[in-house]
Amino acid sequence: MKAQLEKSFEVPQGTELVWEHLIDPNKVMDCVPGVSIDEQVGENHYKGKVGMKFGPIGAKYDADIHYKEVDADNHKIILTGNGVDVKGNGNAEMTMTMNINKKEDGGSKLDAVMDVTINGKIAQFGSRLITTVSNQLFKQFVSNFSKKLAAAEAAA
Amino acid sequence: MFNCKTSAEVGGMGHSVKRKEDARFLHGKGNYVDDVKLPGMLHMVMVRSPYAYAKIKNINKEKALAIDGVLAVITGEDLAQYNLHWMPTLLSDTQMVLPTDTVMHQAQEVCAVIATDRYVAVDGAEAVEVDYEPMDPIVDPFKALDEGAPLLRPDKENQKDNHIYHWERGDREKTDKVIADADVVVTERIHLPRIHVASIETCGCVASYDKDTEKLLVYLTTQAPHAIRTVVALVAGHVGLSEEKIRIISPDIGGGFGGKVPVYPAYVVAIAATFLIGKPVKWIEDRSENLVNGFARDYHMDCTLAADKNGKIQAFKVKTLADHGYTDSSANPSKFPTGMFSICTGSYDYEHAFAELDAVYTNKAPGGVAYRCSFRVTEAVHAIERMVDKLAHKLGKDPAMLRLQNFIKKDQFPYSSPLGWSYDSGDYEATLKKAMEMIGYDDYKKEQAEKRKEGKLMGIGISTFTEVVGAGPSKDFDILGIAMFDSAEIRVHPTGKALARFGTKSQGQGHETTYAQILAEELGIPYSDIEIEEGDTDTAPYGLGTYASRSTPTAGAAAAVAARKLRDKGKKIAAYLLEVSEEDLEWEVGKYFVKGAPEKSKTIQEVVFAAYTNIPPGMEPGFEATHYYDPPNLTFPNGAYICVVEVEKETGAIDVKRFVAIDDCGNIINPMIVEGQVHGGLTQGIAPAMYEAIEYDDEGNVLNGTLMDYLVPTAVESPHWETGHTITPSPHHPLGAKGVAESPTVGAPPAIANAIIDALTPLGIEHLDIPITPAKVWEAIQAHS
Amino acid sequence: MKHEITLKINGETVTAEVDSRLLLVHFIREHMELTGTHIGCDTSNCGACTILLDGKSIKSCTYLAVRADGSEITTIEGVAEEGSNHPIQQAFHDQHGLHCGFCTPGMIMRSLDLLKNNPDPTDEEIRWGISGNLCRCTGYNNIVKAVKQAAKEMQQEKQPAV
Repeated sequence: MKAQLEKSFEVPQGTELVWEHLIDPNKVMDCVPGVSIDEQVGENHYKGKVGMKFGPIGAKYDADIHYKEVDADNHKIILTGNGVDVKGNGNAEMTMTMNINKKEDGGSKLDAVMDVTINGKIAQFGSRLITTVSNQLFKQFVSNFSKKLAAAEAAA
Repeated sequence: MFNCKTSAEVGGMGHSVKRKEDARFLHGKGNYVDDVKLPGMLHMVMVRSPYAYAKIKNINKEKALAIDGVLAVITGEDLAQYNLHWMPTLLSDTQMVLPTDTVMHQAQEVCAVIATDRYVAVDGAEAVEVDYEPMDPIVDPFKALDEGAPLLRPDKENQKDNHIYHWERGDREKTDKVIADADVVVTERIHLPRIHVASIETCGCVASYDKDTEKLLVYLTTQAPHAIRTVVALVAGHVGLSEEKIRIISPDIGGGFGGKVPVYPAYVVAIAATFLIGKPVKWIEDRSENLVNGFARDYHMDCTLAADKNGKIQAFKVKTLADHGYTDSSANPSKFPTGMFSICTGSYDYEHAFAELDAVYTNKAPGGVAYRCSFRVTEAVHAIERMVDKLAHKLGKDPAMLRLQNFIKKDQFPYSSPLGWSYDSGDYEATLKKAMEMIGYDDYKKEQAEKRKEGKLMGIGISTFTEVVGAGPSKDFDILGIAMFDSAEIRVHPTGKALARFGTKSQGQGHETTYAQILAEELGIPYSDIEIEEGDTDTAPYGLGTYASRSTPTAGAAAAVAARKLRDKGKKIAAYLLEVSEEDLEWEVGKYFVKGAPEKSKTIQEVVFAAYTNIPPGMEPGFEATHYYDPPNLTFPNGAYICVVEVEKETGAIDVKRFVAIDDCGNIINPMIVEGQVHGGLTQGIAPAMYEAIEYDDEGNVLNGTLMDYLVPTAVESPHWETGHTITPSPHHPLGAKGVAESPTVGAPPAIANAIIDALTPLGIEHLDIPITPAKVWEAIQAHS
Repeated sequence: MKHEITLKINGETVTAEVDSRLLLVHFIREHMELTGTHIGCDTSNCGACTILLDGKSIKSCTYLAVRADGSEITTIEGVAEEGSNHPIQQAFHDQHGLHCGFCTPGMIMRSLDLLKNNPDPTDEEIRWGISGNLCRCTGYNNIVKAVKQAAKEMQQEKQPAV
């Protein structure tokens, strides 16, 4: 199944600090619940693991994460993630485009568009829950990411 | 209404006797497949594909086999060694038992895990590692024929595209001409989506092969045990399973509705597994496996109906695209790839019709079963009944009046339909008028006019359908070459009690009662003294099973004819006992008496006793008879259904206020059972009309493969059904009876759809495909306001 | 992991060692060999597995056997003495409230709970009351009638609701 999610959130930190965090997979992925980066396999190319649970159905993906576009001038990234369930229960693909825009008060506004394709058990049994779970995951990500930014700001 | 020839105690035709089979079900003593437990029994669980279309690069069994209690993982490669990895379908296509290289639909069987315990088998299935290479599936059947669409079945010789077959009936040229010249023409593309029978009991089997006796015993959820025995012998004969060594037992069946006609791959794997291991193997499908395997309907029908300006119907044309999934495993008679779809000309008298159909492969589950209807009759009836309503709206005519104007008249039977059927009997006008009277049609029309003035949405929908059931005459109807007769074998014991066995198999229809009543009617032996058995191929006479409303038309007829053979023999015995000639005797239910001297008589029980104890010289002892009944024609049950709905404009919510169903199924054996069957069929009619559809996304994922998402109506969604009958006996059936249990499933959806669309007519809405959900109605209202 | 559980089924006290993950319905069907309780959907939608646990109807397909430790269970086999019918069984028979019989045990167990809490239900209340139990054969009309008949007879006889 395919789903498109559009999300925006704001943080008080400036765009440069946010950008620095966003292009570092170890920093940003650390904030996504269930995601871990195992190794870098090429330029802007990483391997990791993604675990998700949609109600009764869970999946653990071996994931391939790729910064397809890193546009420092416009503070825009395009990130793709492909994962195959380690038990052969399906796969998932995501393309995320994210922009950071400077706010008048000095903070940043982040706009993300995610196109997700999911096949297999999750699509079959969890489709009703995907939007709800995604919203929940995004909330957790925003909370983690904001904390990380605040900590970095304090340390600096 | 029902003229009973027998007393209530004898309980022949027309008596609403209580069912003989109830006691075991009411006390939890039914014996369904999952209740069967054999010594040393193993459990099988299938690993299924998460993808709609993928190459299988590797199957790693190791981790599964390492689990304590997992005995085997069976793959397509394993079966290929015995040439059992493919099997033939009923319609000369081929279906994978287990794949060796490619999976063709989501949830297709990939391999099987055999373990000592149900839970351990599931653990094993979880531990099997399958390496897939996903490919882009074809989900939309209209795209299956696109230039450059991937060829889904390269395994089939001469298969150049995804087209399976073309079928047509009627005169295309003349029909086109009449349509071109007609005053009024209405057209519509109508889709009847994939649905699933979702019997509350899923499918399953317990297969047990004894290596010493070389006998195979299979307890199986099947509506056609004898046919299955023959199929197993044909498919597995080369490995040494020959038909006399195969015993299929169809125990109590928790609902069939056509879903238990096919041979599912897992049955074959279980049989292969027990054959190799020598221990009983049980496989029980879980609900999501059930819902995503097998289907009914999925016809896209482009319909055209033409009439003159007065509303006289002149021609009907339908061009259909059928989505069969990756193989044509439709459960149809061999010569009828589209089943009885050519009944689509309906209950109306006109000369010209043309129907054609193209079937295509897609990456969906195969199936093509009935969902409680005779082969593809629901599709046909929906097409014509929707179109007649559309014509009425276009002409500004009352849909009831338009139907009355166009009906085949009572004196036109037997009626030759434009597409080649010979309708046996009916009185369509009387049936519709009875329905109109019972519901108060004219009052509702007035109420509707008032409500429309207030801006309220109220609809009245009619369906006046003709079914074609009871396959069938051997000259036309066969399954894998086996003629579609059915059978009855009666043994009357010395004390006058009887045991009768049949080639059919009840799945809730009440055969144990109905057949006993037929024999009670014919022999005068009380129904309570007659035991009925079905479903064991070692004991029952050969027959093609129960589906397509064929049991009463075929096996019921066989029972009557076999009983009449016994009555003839009984007459000879009675003549001997009474020392008169046969010609001097007359039969009255339960006894033979001397003409003009009724005090000189012998009861059937006395006659039967004599057949064992005081046999006339030269006569063969015993009192037994068998008959294999080859019907001269099908039976054509019909009915008039009227539905009244109200639709809430703001939300699209649909409230079914009334539903009246008048059925004409000829002579009635047990009115209580017939009424019960009609109730059930009606709920399975509202189900696809308003709730059920198997939905796929563009990637071929099934989106509603559980009963959380696939909406089987509960007692709340199911309206209070109001039923009634007209009786027009079948002229060719020995009892004048026709099939009935599927009529309501066939007739109800267009009545409901017509009612909802009628409610929406003031907004300019002309058609909605089923299931007509509140969301769909709401969207249509938004689009039209 | 194994656990020892002790419970009463149809009046008989049973002690058994069960896996943590064993579902109550499998305990009833396979360990106790009471196969009148059926499995229809695995997701608590169909109600074929309905039993009474401490007098309340529950769906035993989504209830762990260990959780039933110390409880009192009635299954369809325990509704009436052998050879006799409880009024609810008689009513299902009289009103033709069953066809294939697969949903029947669950439907009866649910109806008993319904009648215990509402001894004189309306048609509407019966329909809502049994809406957690699916029947694919009967169209429900006659099940509603059966529950009504049972209600009437149980009130007259003051029959205990098991």
